[in-house]
Formats: sequence, C-alpha cells, structure tokens
Amino acid sequence: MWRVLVVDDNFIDRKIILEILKGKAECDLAATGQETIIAYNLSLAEHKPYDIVLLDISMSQMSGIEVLKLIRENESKTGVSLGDGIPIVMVTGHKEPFLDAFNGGCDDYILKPISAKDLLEKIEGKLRLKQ
Amino acid sequence: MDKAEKQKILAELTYLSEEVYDELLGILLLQAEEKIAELKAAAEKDDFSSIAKIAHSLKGSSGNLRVNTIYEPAKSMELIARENPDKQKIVGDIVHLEEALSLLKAS
Repeated sequence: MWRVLVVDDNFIDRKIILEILKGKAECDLAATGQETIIAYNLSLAEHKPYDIVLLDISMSQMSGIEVLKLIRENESKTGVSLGDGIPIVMVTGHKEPFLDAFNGGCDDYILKPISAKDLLEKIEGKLRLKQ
Repeated sequence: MDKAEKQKILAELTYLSEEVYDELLGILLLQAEEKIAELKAAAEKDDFSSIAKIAHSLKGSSGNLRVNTIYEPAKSMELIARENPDKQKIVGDIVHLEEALSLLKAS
C-alpha cells in the first residue's frame, strides 16, 4: 500500500482524496503548512517516509509552494538532488500557480475538481518512475 | 438538490457512499454560509484579494462535490476579483450563492 501525505486546508477536499485512496493507500493528513512539515519530518525520523505528497497550493498562512520549497531545501541539505526527492503533486484549482510550483521542484499537478481516475493515474505514474 | 441530481453525482463519484456524500454536503452548506458572510464583508471594503481567496476555496470544495450551483458563482467571483474587479458583478454572484444555498438547505 502507498504511504501518502494528503495536505489541504479544507476538510471536504482532504476527505475526497482519502475516499479515492481508500484501500490503496495509508494516508496521513495535514491541514496547514506547519502540520505538513511536522508530518514530513516525523516520517523521516521514524524511517517511514511517504511515497508521495499531495499538496494543496492555496492554503492560508503558509502556501503549498512555501511548503514545497522547505521540503526541497531540506532534501538538498541531506544530499538529495532535485528530481530525486519525494514525489510531490500539487493540487490546485487553476493551472497558473503550477509554474511557480514547478520551479520550486514539484513533480506534477492535478486540477480541482479532482477526478479519481486522474489522481490515481498521476500517483501510479509518479511511483512507477521512482522505481 | 433533487434525488435525480444527487444520483447523477454519485454515479460519477463512485468512491463516495451516499452517506458520506450527504455528510460532506452538510459541511459544504455550513462552509458556504460562513464564506458568504466573509464575501459580503470583503465586498463592502472592496477587498478583491480576499474575495478571490474565499471564492477560490469555496470553488474547490463545491467542485469536488459537483455542486454546480455553488461552484459556478464561486468560480465567476474568483475570476472577476482576480482579473477585472467589478463590485456589482461580485455582489450579483453573492446573490446567486445565497439563492443556491437557500435551495440546497430546503431540499
């Protein structure tokens, strides 16, 4: 089963992704950028890294792009090259922020409203590439 | 939301049981009520940046539940607030949201 970190500040959006991934993934949830960084660091400390992060771009306080940059900075400090780090798929309501996210080191994006088929194909594709 | 409409949505969102969908819909209606109040307050101050953020959030969750009567005015408001701020049009969309919310609560 995949280990997935689902990040979104909206309960409904987190729940939708959880339901799509039911039976396919063991999911942890984060509702803020701070919670995401805590969950990510904890996963490393416990040697239970996530297979993939689904990261909402538009969150109040700390945006998904800021979170993305923090994760990539952390990876860079530990010798992980850009492109070799944890797959991160940005979840966004519109395509335009993706460019910032792409420059910040995200692997792909998925648009809201989320299609279950698209989400599962994205995850499978990213994890297949990683193997 | 009438039964036929809900069945059509559930036929698309096969990963959601009707029970879970109804729960999430209830949450959406509560969120929409709060966000309408926030939108009105932001519109009073011509705070188009806040309007865009609030509308974006409502667009996301309503879209994920395929509640188009909330999704469409939220999407419209976000676009107007971001690209060509027009208070009158935004107020119009807020009215559409309120009407949609009323109808959904009544059904």
